[in-house]
Amino acid sequence: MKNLRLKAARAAMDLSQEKLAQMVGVSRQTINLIEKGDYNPSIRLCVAICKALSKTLDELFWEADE
Amino acid sequence: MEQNSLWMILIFAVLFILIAVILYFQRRKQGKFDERQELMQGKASRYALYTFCGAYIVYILLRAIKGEKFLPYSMLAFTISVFLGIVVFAVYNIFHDSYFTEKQRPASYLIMSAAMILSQSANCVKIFRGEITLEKEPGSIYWCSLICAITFAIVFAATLIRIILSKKEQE
Repeated sequence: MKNLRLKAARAAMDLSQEKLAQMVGVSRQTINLIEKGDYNPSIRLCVAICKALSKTLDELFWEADE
Repeated sequence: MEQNSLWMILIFAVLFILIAVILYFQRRKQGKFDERQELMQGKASRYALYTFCGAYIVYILLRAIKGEKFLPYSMLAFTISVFLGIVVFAVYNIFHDSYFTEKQRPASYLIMSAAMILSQSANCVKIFRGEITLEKEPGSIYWCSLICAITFAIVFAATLIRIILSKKEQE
């Protein structure tokens, strides 16, 4: 499942995938795959991304039941 | 003669340790792989092992079925199986972006691969001229050079394709 909230949060801060990847210490492709929903990051990486984007884990990664 | 051999072994051992230390410190500068890349490398290692085992088992089965005179080049078959495994490992990682760290430049790897292909191809001239054939010299070191050149050519092509695809993705 695509993570559109992550993509939106990144875009809101005017960050490229490459820039965000550098901030959290992963490759650009890893960020790309997280946004596409093709990779499940570890909690550590989730927290690092949240800190970089000034968001909470719920806001970026919680999957609400529909 | 024995003393000379011992000195040679000692010199090679020291050289090997020196090169290993240099590569270790150089590697530290090139950055680390992230968690996803390490996972992909684990998968690639598994597939490479399956490929190596599968290829050699196929060879052994063919020899068992067809008889001992069928392709009596077991060392060559073993070498080919090893390089097939290496190709699977490298190509899988290249296409899953887990072969290079963020600090490494794929372009410099292309140059290195091209140099390796050229150097190994120079060794294969005798094969291309027909001076060395499987029937006459199945254990010749020149076959290793040919297999090495083909391996690097495949990895070169995979790296080039991945660079082109990555640029299109970024656009």
